[in-house]
Amino acid sequence: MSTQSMLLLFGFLVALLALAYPLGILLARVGDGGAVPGFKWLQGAERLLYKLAGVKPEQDGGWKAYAIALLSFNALGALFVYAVQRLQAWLPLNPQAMPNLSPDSSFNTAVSFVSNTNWQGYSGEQAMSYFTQMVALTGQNFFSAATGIAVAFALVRGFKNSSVKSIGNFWVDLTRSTLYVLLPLSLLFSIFLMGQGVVQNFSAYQDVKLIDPIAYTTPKLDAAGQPLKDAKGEAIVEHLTATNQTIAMGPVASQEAIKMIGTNGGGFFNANSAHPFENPTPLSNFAQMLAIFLIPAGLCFAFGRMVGDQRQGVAVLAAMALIFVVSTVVLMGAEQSAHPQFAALGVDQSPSILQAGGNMEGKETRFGIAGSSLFAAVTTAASCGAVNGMHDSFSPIGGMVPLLLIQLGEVVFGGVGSGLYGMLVFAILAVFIAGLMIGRTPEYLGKKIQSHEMKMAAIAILVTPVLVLGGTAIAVMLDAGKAGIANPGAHGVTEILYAFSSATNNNGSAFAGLSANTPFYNSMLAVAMWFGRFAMIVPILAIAGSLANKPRLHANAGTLPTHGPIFVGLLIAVVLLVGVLNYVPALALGPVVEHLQLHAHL
Amino acid sequence: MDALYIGAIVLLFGLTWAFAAGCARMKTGAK
Repeated sequence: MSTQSMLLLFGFLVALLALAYPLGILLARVGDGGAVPGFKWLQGAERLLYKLAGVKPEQDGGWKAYAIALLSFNALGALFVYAVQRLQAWLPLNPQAMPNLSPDSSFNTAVSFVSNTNWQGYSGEQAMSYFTQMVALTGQNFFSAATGIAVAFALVRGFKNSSVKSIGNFWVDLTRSTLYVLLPLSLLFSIFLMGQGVVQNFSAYQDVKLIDPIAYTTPKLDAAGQPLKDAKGEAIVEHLTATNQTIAMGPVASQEAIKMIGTNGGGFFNANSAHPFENPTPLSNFAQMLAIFLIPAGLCFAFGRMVGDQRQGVAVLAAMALIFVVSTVVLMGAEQSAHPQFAALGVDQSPSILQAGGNMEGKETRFGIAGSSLFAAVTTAASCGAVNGMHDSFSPIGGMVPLLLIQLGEVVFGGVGSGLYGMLVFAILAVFIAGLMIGRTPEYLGKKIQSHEMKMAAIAILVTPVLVLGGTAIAVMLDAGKAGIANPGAHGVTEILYAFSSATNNNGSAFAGLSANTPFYNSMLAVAMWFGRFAMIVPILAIAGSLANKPRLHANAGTLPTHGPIFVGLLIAVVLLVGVLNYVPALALGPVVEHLQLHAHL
Repeated sequence: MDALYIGAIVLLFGLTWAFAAGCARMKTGAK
């Protein structure tokens, strides 16, 4: 790991904490329901929205009403996004005359953006009109992020409230999160991005003649868009020369801001944050990484404030930060390491003023190994999925770290809201295990953890591995699943495992190398995304409802402290144990085998 | 094809609703 990498990681963490703490205060005020400092002038708009929608903000029907409202809103959102894609040829703001998208691709994208996954089987600049990007996709970037924050608030109220049915009103949480948090932050961030060079226009694409023609190779595709392979199963490539380039335009900055702040990750362009119009400078790269972690970290502080004990939020944040730092160090170290086969040939792979050293394949050349590796760790620890490098080209261990971060359940900072509520489910499991081990009453924040909470926690934790491993197993057994693999062997297994891990855990990044825009993958991954999101949210809301109904007990001599280093260590151990036990056999078939093959060829 | 995929979204919603109802029944122990 280079000095540059260490300094970047340290500076990133310091900047994150400095920004997340004040945001946590704001988020706590939003969650508590009172006036938000600095935004009193927006209260009129809030009340007007309730009036227009027929919402009674004081109405509260318990967790079931909350869940039904949430599911209905998101199902309607999916239908809307589907309809816009299927009708975009006849809708405005389509200067490139993009045709309607296929039904299976529209289905996949609708579920993808509603579930905050933002898995993209399509190529943005080649498929989506500006109207679709702005109204359907960016709209869902806001709503899916607000849904995550709402669920986090509901669960925190479960701990905070005592002997009541109430966990809040979904429509109020949705409105307040959007109005007071997501919209202002996105507005500020999009202006900053425009200042850095991110485009924001409705112009048609520009055709320019290249100064020097560029020769390149690309996989040859069949009529169905699948890569053609030779007798050995290797992808067939064709050699082409480009003399002109089409420069894609569009309202990018406004989508880019919420893409990061809402941990959505769906790029305006196919290259995502490796595209200079999405991520033009090292400063914008740094700011985008901060934007991804900002709300997840801020919500930890908000959690502490809302339950009346800041130390609880800090403990959760510390557990997240420790897992993140260790993972990032491993990832950066792996990518900076010398390739064993080049080393055997005596090639100098050390970083210097003349070269990056290590593994530059797949990295964004403007940001180097440090900027791309840290981005990869951030985007997969959070359920963002934006990328500025190709994870498929990372070293086997370097590629395994993002995969494992996703498979841990997106709780290492995680998605907006989903990171906190996912980690709190692990905290419930941790106090339960601690209670069994040392004979103490399982309690968390004064709430007894009993059989119903444990059943719901177990469902919430097991939903994702069932979908990931089941989906991967089906895909590797069927020809339709294997057809999309660009790299046969262990790497191909990793490509499929990554796709299902990313979809189910609502990350959305692609390992690349897998051609997933097929009816098979579009349908399978859509089902994985939907249940990975909502089959986890439902039991978490059930936990919130059950906890809110219980009295809040005072701590006594038999209570396990949940704000100290012992609990932080226990929480980390539970997260890692569950993740490792679920996925090690699958990882052994993919990146672990590939790592061994790398060294076996020496 | 549109009917198939719109139906699929409605089905996903319905299944999740039924799952939520199941979670609620687990709490009350209702048969």
